[in-house]
Amino acid sequence: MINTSLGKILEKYSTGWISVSQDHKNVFAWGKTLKSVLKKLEKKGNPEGYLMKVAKSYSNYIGV
Amino acid sequence: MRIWYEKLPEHPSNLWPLLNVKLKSKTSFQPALALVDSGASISVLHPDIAETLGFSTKILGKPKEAGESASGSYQSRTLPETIDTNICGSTFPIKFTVIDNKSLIWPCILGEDSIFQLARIDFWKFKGYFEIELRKDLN
Repeated sequence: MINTSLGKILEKYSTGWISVSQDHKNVFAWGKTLKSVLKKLEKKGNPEGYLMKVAKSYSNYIGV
Repeated sequence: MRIWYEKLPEHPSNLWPLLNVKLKSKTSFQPALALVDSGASISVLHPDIAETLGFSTKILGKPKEAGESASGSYQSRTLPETIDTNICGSTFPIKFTVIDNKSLIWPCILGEDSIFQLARIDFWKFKGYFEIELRKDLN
């Protein structure tokens, strides 16, 4: 089944960085900068969250 | 291992092959999402991720090369050491390039020079998933 959890989470944000759980269903932390996300994670005991950058658009990337 | 594609906002018809990876340098450890990109000739770290792993642009110095991508022009800096990258439970040293393209939205991109050398990858996009079979002769 195609995963939609991450997309639903990202819809709520338009900028910054986010840390999500391994199954991409829960948000551990969000912040405007990666450093602020890491600080929030530290306060929460450093749960193993996976970092993703939040963007206004996910459509214009093709490749490098 | 079968991994389902991700739908992201704005254009839900686009499906993205994303992987959970764990990046480990000599000084830091950072889990992140990585795009599996058969169209990328190199493997890439976002500058912010590189910095958390101990490689700020100040440490990396001036960019050595400039390139053009479908996402626009970019400058790049190659990390001086490999990053131990855990993919699906196995760890591989991967050489990453840091690019400063402002349109870069992925924390990590696994391109032709890394994951496609480390695993057989079958894309079954019409079924909504891709399969990764890691090489067993490397670890």
